[in-house]
Amino acid sequence: MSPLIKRLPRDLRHNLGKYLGIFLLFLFAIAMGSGFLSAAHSIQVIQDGLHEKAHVEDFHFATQFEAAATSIKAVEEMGCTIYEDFTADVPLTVRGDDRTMNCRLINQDSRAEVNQYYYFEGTEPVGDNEIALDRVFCKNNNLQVGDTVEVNGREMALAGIASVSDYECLMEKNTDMLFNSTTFTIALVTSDGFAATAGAKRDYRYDAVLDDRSMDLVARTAFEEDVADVLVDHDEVLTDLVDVDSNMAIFFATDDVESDQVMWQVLVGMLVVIMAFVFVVLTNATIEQESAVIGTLLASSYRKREIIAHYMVLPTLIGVVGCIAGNAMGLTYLSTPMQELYYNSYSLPPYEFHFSPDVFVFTTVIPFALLEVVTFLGLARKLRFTPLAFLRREIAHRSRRSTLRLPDGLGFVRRFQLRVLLRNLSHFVVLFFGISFCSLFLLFGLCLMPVVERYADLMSSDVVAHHIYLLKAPLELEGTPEQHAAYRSVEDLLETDDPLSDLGFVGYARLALRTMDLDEDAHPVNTVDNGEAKIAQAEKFSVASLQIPRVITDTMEPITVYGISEDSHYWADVDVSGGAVVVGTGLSQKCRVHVGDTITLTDKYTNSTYDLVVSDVWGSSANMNVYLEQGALNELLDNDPDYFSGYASDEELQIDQRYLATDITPESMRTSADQMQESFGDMMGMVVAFAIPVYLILVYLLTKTVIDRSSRYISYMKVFGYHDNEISRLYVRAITVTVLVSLVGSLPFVLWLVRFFVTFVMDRYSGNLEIWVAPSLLAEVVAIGAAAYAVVAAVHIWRIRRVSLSEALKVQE
Amino acid sequence: METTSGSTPFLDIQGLTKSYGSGEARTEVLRGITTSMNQGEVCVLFGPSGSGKSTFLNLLGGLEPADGGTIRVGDTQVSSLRDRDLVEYRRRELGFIFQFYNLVPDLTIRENIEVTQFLSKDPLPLDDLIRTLGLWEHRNKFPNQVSGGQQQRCAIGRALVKNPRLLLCDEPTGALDYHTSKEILELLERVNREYACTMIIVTHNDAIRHMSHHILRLRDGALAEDTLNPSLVPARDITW
Repeated sequence: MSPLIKRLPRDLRHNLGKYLGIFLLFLFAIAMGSGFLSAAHSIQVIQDGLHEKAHVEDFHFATQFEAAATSIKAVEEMGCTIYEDFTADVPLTVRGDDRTMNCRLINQDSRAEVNQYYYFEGTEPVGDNEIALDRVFCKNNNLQVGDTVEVNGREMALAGIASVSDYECLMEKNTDMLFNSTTFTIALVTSDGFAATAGAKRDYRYDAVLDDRSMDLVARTAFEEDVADVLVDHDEVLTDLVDVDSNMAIFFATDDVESDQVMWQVLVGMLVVIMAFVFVVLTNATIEQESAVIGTLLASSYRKREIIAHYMVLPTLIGVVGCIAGNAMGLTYLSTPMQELYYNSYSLPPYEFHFSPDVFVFTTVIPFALLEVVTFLGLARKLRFTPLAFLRREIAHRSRRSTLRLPDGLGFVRRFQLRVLLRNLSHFVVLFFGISFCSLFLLFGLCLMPVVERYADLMSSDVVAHHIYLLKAPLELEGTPEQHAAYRSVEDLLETDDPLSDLGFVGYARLALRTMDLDEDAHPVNTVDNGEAKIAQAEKFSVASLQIPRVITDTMEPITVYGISEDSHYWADVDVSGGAVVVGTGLSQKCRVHVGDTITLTDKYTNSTYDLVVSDVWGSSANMNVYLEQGALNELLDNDPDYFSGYASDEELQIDQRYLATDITPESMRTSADQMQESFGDMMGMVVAFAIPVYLILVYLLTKTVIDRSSRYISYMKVFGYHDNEISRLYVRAITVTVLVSLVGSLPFVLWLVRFFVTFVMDRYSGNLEIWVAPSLLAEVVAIGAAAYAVVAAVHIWRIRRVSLSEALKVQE
Repeated sequence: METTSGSTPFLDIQGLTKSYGSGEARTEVLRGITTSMNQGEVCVLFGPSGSGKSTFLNLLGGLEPADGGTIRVGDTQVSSLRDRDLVEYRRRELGFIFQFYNLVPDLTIRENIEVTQFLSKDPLPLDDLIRTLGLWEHRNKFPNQVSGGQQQRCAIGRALVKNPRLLLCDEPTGALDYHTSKEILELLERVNREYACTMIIVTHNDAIRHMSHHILRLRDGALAEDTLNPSLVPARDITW
């Protein structure tokens, strides 16, 4: 065993600050990286497994009335299994809460083989007065097992707290823009409980599992269209048909977890880059500090590899301990807050850890390998010098800048500080980049919320009318009183399961007679007459949901294509005359689409593509739409010339619920962006919380080397009669100026990096988040950086006080 | 106390003791040193390695505290000063010259001298001093660009520029060749003459005793010799 090993404990003690810094850097980076990415990976594995494990549906449909057994059999013969899954939306009240909430009753027996559920607490309901509610809803309403809730007028005991696999995200309607886990919940009850609580209310929903579960979306969409045809052929009134990939309650959470992982990978990647910077500086500092020892060892015929091995022992040990501690901390303490980021919003199944080799390599192996490689290369490169060069401490490259002549007119203190600066310029350059990355981290964490806030404002202001009504099928507002009455009759007939017995012969005949004159080829007419004035100001448009390739990632951006009239009142500034194609500014920015470019839009359900040449760019940076003349869009999509799918209206309209998909208002757009803000909020808080200690460690480690390599001269100063505060002024002020200049000077670079990273990270999220950083935010970053540095400077001043006078008196050639 | 000349001594040391370690490892480095020096004297301190020369210098310089005894420099009772006052004492009264110059490598010759000029309220004129030291041509060079002798001249300038009353020189010629050593000794002699500062030179070079007013020799922490030199020889005439 090499006798040098005895030096290691002493070296550790002597350079405790340095090794502690490396250890903490490892600890924080790995804890954060492995904590989050492992949690996200585990959640993703759980989500991915649900499809098979919990038998999540491939699609579901709903009919106006209970579908006939022959209809179901006909659908099943096409190649799938249908599970009856009737639900009922009923009011729910919680004791001590005045709000009436919406509870979707599910018969737990119908979920035995499809869309299965998981219990977190309590047990399955057994009696008809027992109920199990969604976990997130219970958390938001402080409900515990054993509590009593009133459901549709019945007192029911909360027997269990559960999550249902097709309601990871509590969306009341698939067309809703936001989830609602506060006043909406799913509820599992027994068959008797369902019958007793739901009363006569029923939503006739059927869950389908395909025989061939490997079918892709396009094949599945075609299959589902055939299913719809079969059901209509069997005289069923289809009210809903949703594919699993279009079911927001199922895919929203999965998408969120997937997209967030990219963000965390980028953040951990930035940390790894920062660590590489630090290792380079620390290795050089170690070699300089140990120059005489290395020279002596070389002169004593120690081999270079023995010396390299000796100097790699401590960094390696510290790295290993840091990796182990980081993983332990990440996978225990930090995994929980990371899980809660999602489990507080989404009704996911119980968490279980799944090891990811990729995450381990990314968060642990790469940083450790970086430490080893940087240290090894740094030592190997320096060991090219002769033993004498080491003994004479002539291994540090003395650049021309350090021998610059400074103007005599400059006071001694300024010149001295400049000399410190020039001597340590390479360290300060690294410090500049290190600070830039830390500021980037901070700014990234701080700016995202205001950016989303601004996005919310833009989204809201982009809604050109007070109401944008999207329809499931064209529905005319304008009609004669007879037409309105006739369609009311149709609705009445459709809503009656057995018209003859329910309405009586006369009632049935009256309704049937009213409908006889209806033109089957014409668009249906709204049952309510909204009045001439309201109808006149409402404007028809066509709309289609298509996709366009994103630039950075190999993914598709969902966009909305509007077909509007040339003389639109609501889109007055959008000139779509003469076949012009106008794209939103957001779309132009995110997908780098410019005037004159040809864009290819894809329908993900049919794989059809449409090529369009861009004529103009319009709207805000949040606008991800494409605008065409209505007729042109109808022609493009092969629709009838008079087809339309929405109304823009400044007046609130009464539109038949059966035809209404959604009502977009400026407020609803704002609320949806607010939800985005909420989902980012906790995560960004964690980013900032990590950025500050990382900043402290980094600045401490990088500036410590400046003090360390000057310790001998600091000691001289003390011998000459300098007070500690005078020495601090000479050394620490030079560092302070560098840190402050780096903090302020790096801002343009940091802004550029933030733009780059946010663009990269946000590419997978739908929409275009334009980075806009308020000057006050930049001031905040500088202030946090300066405050963190103040702590470091205080440590340095304390260390300068501790520099021994005897350092100067050591005989050193 | 009075010196051999009868006046009040500038430097008065009484029963100075210093030891390191404790228990069995305790080593007595200085064992009750008592001596005194007049203002403007050049005192040479000899002694074999481990005799306590450097410790003696450190105690005079206020770099470490004595275990016992007193040191008075001018009106200052050094042995009773607190840390902050010791800094003031070094700042006001002392100049240090080291064997290996201990220049700051990233400061020019001029800037190295300015390091201590900055501390003094009444420094010597910098340019005149640089000329006196024969460094005018080299004033904007860095230490590694000049010879060892020039570096030691610079170190002397650095010690001298704040106009100290006591100059402590630890082997000032120890790292220099014969001719350069003689140049340095001549310079020290001139500095002593022109600026009238008291000088204590720690050395192994016995020849330096001829240019010194006062000769001290330490052996095992005790004074083995404390004599005055009645016949000074100019530095240029001494040989070894």
